[in-house]
Amino acid sequence: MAIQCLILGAGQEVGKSCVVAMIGGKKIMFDCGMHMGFSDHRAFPDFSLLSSNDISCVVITHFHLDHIGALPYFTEVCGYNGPIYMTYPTKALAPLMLEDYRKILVDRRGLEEQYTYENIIHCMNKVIPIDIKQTIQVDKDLQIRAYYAGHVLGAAMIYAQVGEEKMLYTGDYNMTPDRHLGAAQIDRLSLDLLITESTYATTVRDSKYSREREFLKAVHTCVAAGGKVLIPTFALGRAQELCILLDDYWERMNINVPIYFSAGLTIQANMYYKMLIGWTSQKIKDSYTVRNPFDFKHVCPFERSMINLPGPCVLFATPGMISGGFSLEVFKQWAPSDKNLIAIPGYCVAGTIGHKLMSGKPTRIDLDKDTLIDVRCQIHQLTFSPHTDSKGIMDLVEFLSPKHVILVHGEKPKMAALKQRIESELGIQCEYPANNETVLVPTTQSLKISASKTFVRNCTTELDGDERIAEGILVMEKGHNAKIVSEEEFLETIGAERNVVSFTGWMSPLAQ
Amino acid sequence: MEEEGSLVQPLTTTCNPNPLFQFDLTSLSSAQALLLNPSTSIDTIHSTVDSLLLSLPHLSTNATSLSLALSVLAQSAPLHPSLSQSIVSSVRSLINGQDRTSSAVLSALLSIATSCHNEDGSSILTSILDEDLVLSLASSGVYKIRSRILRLLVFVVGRWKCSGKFLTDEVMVRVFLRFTGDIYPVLRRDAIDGLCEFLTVARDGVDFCVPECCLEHAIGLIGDDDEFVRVAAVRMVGLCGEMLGEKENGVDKTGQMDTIFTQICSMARDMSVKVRIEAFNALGKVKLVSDAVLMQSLSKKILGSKNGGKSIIKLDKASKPCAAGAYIHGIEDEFYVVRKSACRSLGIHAVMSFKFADDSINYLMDLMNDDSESVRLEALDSLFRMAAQGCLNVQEKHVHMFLGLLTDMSSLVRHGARKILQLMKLPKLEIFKSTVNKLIANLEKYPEEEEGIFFSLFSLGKNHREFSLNVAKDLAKQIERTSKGDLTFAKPSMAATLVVCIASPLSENENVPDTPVVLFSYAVPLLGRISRALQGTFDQHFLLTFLLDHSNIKWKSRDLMPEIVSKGISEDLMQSVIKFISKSVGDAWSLIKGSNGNDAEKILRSCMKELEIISLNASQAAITTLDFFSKYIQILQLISKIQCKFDFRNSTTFHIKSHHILLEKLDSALRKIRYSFTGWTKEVECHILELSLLVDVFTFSLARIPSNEYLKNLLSKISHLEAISCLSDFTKEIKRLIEERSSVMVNLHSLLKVFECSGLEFVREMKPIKAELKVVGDDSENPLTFVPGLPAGIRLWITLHNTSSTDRLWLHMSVRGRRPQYVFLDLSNFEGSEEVRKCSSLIPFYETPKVASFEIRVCIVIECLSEHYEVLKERGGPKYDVTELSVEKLVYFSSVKSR
Repeated sequence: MAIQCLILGAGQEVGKSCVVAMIGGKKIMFDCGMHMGFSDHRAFPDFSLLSSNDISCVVITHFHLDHIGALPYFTEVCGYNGPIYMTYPTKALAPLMLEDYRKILVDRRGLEEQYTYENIIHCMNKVIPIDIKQTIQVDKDLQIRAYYAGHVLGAAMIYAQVGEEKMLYTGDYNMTPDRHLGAAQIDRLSLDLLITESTYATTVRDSKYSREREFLKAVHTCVAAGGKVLIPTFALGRAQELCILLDDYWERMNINVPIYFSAGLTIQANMYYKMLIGWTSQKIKDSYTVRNPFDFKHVCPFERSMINLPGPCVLFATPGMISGGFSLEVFKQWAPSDKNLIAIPGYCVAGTIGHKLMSGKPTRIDLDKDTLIDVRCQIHQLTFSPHTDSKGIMDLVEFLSPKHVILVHGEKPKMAALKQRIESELGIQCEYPANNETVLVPTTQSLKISASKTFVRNCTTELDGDERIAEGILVMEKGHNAKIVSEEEFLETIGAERNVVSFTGWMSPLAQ
Repeated sequence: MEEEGSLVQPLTTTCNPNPLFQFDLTSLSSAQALLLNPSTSIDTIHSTVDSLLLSLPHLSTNATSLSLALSVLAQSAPLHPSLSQSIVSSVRSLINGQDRTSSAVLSALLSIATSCHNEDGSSILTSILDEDLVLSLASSGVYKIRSRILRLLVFVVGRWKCSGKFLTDEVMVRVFLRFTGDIYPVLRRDAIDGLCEFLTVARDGVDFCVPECCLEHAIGLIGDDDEFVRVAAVRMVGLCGEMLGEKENGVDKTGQMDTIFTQICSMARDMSVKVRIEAFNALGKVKLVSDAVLMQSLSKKILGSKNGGKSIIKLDKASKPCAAGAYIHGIEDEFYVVRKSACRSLGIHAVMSFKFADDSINYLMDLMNDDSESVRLEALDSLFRMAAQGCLNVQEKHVHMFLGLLTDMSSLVRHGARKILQLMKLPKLEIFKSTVNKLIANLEKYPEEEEGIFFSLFSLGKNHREFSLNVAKDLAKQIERTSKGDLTFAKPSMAATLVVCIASPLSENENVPDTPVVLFSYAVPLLGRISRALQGTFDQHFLLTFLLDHSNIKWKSRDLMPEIVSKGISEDLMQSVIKFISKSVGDAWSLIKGSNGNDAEKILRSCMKELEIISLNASQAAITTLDFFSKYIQILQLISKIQCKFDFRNSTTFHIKSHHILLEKLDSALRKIRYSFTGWTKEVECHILELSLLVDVFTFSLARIPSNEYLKNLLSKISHLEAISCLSDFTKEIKRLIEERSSVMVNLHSLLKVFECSGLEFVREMKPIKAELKVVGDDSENPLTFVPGLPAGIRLWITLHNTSSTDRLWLHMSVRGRRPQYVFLDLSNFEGSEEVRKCSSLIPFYETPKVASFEIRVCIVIECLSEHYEVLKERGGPKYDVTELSVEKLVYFSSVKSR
């Protein structure tokens, strides 16, 4: 028996995660993402390699586009009609992300859309929501279960089992908790196969506390000196994380400087967080009984007219990377003052202002041929990442001790290094196939054997020190269940008698 | 009782040795009901148990009934310990029976043993179990039997030392070790718990190889599938590590300790919170770990061999990566309990290794930003211990975060941070200055913490001589620049900075010549605040002398030095004071008798003042005497007032009302003095009684037509005096007057003339009768809650001094404008001796008014039993007059609704 794994995306690359695993004759598609770097046919996994009717179910781990972006295309255009599973938060947030992206694609870049708004709605209607640790019986043989993965709100790791064959697909996960999400959590499962992400296959990240300390110090010093702080972020995840951090600090230090959220998606996102409190970290859940931690005490909505008001403030503005929109507008106003601070959390795509700011402090930025921005403000770079580091991956693999590991969602050389470590340190076979490759993972088959009463009795009585050794004979007949019996019984069944042959040896002294 | 009899009926028939008899469920349940009912008589219980025991052999064929009967017996054993022995001896024969029977017997034994007192429980088991039996039961194929014998063994091992043993230590350990391999996780866990118990109980008595052997098994189990087994296994690894670390056998144990440490570290990433907590607790127990391994636990990256003297690669290959970053994971954990535990064990190791301390301080400082207050406090605690051991090496990058704590919301955190600052060594002047500024910010925001802040500033100045000198010079310049009389210097920040400046000259007499003189002069007006903060370190007087000496203020040292204040009162001084006062009192008396009230009043007033001054520095015993005198003088003052008002020549003109008030006051003052002290001499007692006679005479003379009650009262007092000693002239005169039935009133003047003030020289070794009252969990900010109309409970801590068992004490509770409520204090409920009795009790207050909030005045009063006339008081309250023993306390209540 074997598990057959077809890597449709995220093989030796980051983007368009999609793995189709055939386990015990059932085909499961884990994630159905798109690649943000391409806008042609390469953006989607190559669905022509499979027939959509073969798939037993599709399971989506979280709402990021590189994990869900191709789902409407697969269901509405390719015609997949089976069940789709995702967690409640993912189901709630995914249509927002999909529609937002579709709009940007069509309205801003003027590209041809791959699916329409109706497609998204129709596709989401087919989704069956699941809860953490809820076991779903997809059909007679196949059962799946979601485990908490951290990473983003509603992210899950998916466990699938058919008969004795078991596997886990991690999706993206985080082994260290942050301020608003918990760490990934899993039971001890004796797995045949573990498919894990490996974004940071070789990075070992330091304690998050030092990053937080630097960030708070920079922000506090800036507002204490009367400056304004701009934090350009995307609406979900980092914004809440940093806001909790700041709100908490403000509270403890009795700071009275206002923290603003630019209107729009962020406020809507906070509403989702408030509703989905059960999916956040333990601390948030604990304090929820007293007060909803997403009802930030020091946060108030921001209006365009307030940009040039005097006095210090902190502003969270979308979109991240200062790629346009409101964050760019504020940046234009605030950048020329050396009292102000721009804090950039996370990664910025090349070509955006965020990227320019991070790659060496420029003194002026040419926005277009008419607009020049004088940059005198301070710049603080933050490296918050919701992915686990290599230590986390190793810890998870060690804890689960599967028989086989497949690495996806990473860069090829780093994956090679990690594979080396897994094989040498943990002694577990590991592979990192490229896109569209198929891997065959052998699984052990276990067989139910019944035992006869005499044998069991022998087992309990024949105790030899600390070791328990019992002898018996395994009988396997065609058409019958395998059975283990004691020696006497076996002789009885085959109608043979026990004969004892004894030898007496004699050695001549002359033989020496 | 009738009902009881009818229930016994079916059971008594069971005594009939009828072989066909079977217990049915109904009779079993009636037996159970009888045995569990607390009001069943002893006889009935005995006969019930006897009939149950007699029927046991008959039931041996019916396993269900037998196990039910056994469980009924087991349930009743804890309630009737006297029956345990007979139950145990009857079930002994059944223990080797069928599986179900033996498991029922074992569970009965367990419940009997656990209900017994320490030694009885295990001696019962010793009488019934032996090695062969235990071994055969332990290797039974039936889960129930194994689990019960295991629980029995765990129970016994906890009392291993105080009982006779039916197993040798070795066999016991072997049995437990065997159970650690059982297929049932519960049994594995119980077995580990048993071993842990064994190791703790037999701590020093066990051989070296026992913990080693346990350790080996525990390490095998830390990877168990069951969460609870892992928790127990990790705990045992920690315990073994602790024991092995303590035991001396002359071998270098670092290698072994390293292995144990890394093994536990590997559990720091377990998915179960309980396991992680236990792992970090266990890490704190393992000592003697090498620096290399400790450093590895702070770094997620695998450290190379060059980073430590000893390479960790040498260790067991499998354990190498385990230690990596264990503590980092611990302090980053999602659950605050884990973080707290990690923080504690990090602190334990940090004080033992300087190298580790240097690195761990980064993380402990970072934890100051944790969202849980208890974690922050734990980290502060660890930092404090490091500071106390001198291994706190603060770096510049930590300062911002650390100083932020001084303005933290939580007062506990602020306090913790200041405690560390007192010990900290700061590397740079700028940091020193910003620390001082932050402390001043702390002071401005939370002025109520002035004392603590000043003390921290003082320690800071003391520990950083150069820096504080620098600050002092700056301050002096600033003072020179500003004009005199500038009010900016009255600010708290000024006082704070001055404390820093004078700290090092004050404590070590260094820097004195360098410190600008002007600062000392500026510090003089702040003396009160500074000395309060430095209580226990410097005496206020010393501080003042020091500041004046070094300032440019001209003064003479003797101006300030009343000898008494600085030295406390010696015994000789005390004697002379008492002599002086009693002499003055005598003088005052003669003045009172001579109707010279004003002069007497002057003398008495100056006596009072003297007493006040002396009692400031007097010893505890002396205070009692002084207290007595002050009370006595109050009485004299009252007598003098009354005497002045009495116009003897024209007895009809005095104002009856004001006299009544004064007499009432005098009466209560006298009661107070009589019931607030004990252990006085005969002379003093006589004197006090005579005084009370005098009061009676006053009252008598006011009443005009004296009642028989008054006369009776007077006579009884006189006979009391007669019993104590021979009568004085004063008493004899009264006696004569009463006997002659002549008017006392007429002779009041002559009576006063013969009144002698003597006996006061004998005031010695008196003990105060007093009470202290403490209301638990109540203050005006956080009042107790109540439901209007329903009784409310007040938890009180009462301490009584020198009360005798015959005293009748009451708790007096009153709400303004209402009748007081009295609660009798039964002295038998108090713990302690006559000298000090203590008790904490919940006192109900019944008549809660229907208001949103109210306050009750609570105090303890003593009933004055020897006051002869009985006054009809409130129902349920004291029958005699009362006098207060404690200070009145206010208890605040607020209605549940208004919360």
